[in-house]
Amino acid sequence: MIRAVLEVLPRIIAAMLLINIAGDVYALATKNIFLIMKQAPVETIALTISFALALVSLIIPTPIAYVFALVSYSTATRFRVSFLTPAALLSIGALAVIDHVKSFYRSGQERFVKIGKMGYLGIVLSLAVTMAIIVSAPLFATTYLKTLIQYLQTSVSKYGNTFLVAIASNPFFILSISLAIGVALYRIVTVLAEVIAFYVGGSRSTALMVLKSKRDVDIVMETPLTMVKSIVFSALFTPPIYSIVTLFPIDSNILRGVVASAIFIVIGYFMYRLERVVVIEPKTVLVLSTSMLIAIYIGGVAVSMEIYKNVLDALIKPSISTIMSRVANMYTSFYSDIILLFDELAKLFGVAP
Amino acid sequence: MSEKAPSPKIRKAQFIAYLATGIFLAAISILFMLWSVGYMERAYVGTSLISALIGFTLLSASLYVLRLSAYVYAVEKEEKRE
Repeated sequence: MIRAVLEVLPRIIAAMLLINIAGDVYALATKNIFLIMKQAPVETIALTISFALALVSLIIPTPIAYVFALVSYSTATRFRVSFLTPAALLSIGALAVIDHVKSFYRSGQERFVKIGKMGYLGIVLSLAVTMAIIVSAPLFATTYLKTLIQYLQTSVSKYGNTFLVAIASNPFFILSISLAIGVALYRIVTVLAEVIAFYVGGSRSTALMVLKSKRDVDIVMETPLTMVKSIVFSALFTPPIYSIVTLFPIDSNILRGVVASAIFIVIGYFMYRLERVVVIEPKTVLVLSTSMLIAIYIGGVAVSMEIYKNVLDALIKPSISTIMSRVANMYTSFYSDIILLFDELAKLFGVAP
Repeated sequence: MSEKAPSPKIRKAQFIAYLATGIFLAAISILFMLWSVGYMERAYVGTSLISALIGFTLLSASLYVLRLSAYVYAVEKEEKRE
């Protein structure tokens, strides 16, 4: 009896999707197929795929085939039929639950369990909470992402900067941002589900196993924004090194930019590693700043030696302004090379004229 | 003297400390995320992204503490039953 329910229920859910898709397929079949293929190739292919997948999920009721059928169907309708409605999410959740129960269920071994009044309440509550998490987590994630990206586009278009607008409306940019936030949200939801599961019915042995395992508890807490710090340090230290490298002249604009950014990344990674070892104390700060001043003085002396040709004069009147302008030149040439590279890349991807 | 086990009353309440810390951090992180949306609406893109980052960092911290609280709760619950 229960086996029959477990077999029939997912097929009913799949059949409801199949009826929806079949209507669209029928509308497609009555028209000239070649004309539609020319007008909307992606939609036609997606509709065909979704029809095949819905048939598959009708025959073999797996949640994965159903999910892919839903996604390709909503792609075929240009998201007129969203797959992120509560009903669709509920049906995915129901399919997942049934699939799980079916893999553990053995026919003829059902036993009756006495359930008190509170027991029924507990069962209903736990089912409701599970379904609420299944429905609300994706809805919250997509709503958050949608508002953030919408506001990003409208706020950028307010500035009227064409380059920024081109970047913000670039589908790859939007895709990468939504992927990053999506991965973060996925981790959050999985951990939250684990927490709730442990509060509802955690076992002592599992909890002790996790609490005692060193891998989970003894993690090194990294200070947030260390990467940003290392990028700042890299921005400070890379231009002098790059100016030494460009003593060998490089002709191509792109190649120079690539070399500059490669050195930037290497130095940044080095700084990131170094920061864990070096402890910033007053003593190191004093030594660093004094050596910096001495380096500036020596550079000034070397420059004024070229002018005065006299050691004493040069030592008394070091040309600080000249050496400083040279250092400033170093920084501007480095960053202009990097900006030129980004300009070329933007032209390559077609976001800038 | 120092090896004396804590009284059962204190032991019972241990997971609540973790739980309170976790929920507090989660509340602050959600606040930061809402602020990020608000900043984005007023076209402060950099501020918005930074506050979203802070929100996610705080949220990961709060989830870690909440996980710990769940494990401690599971351990304590079984202890009580014994």
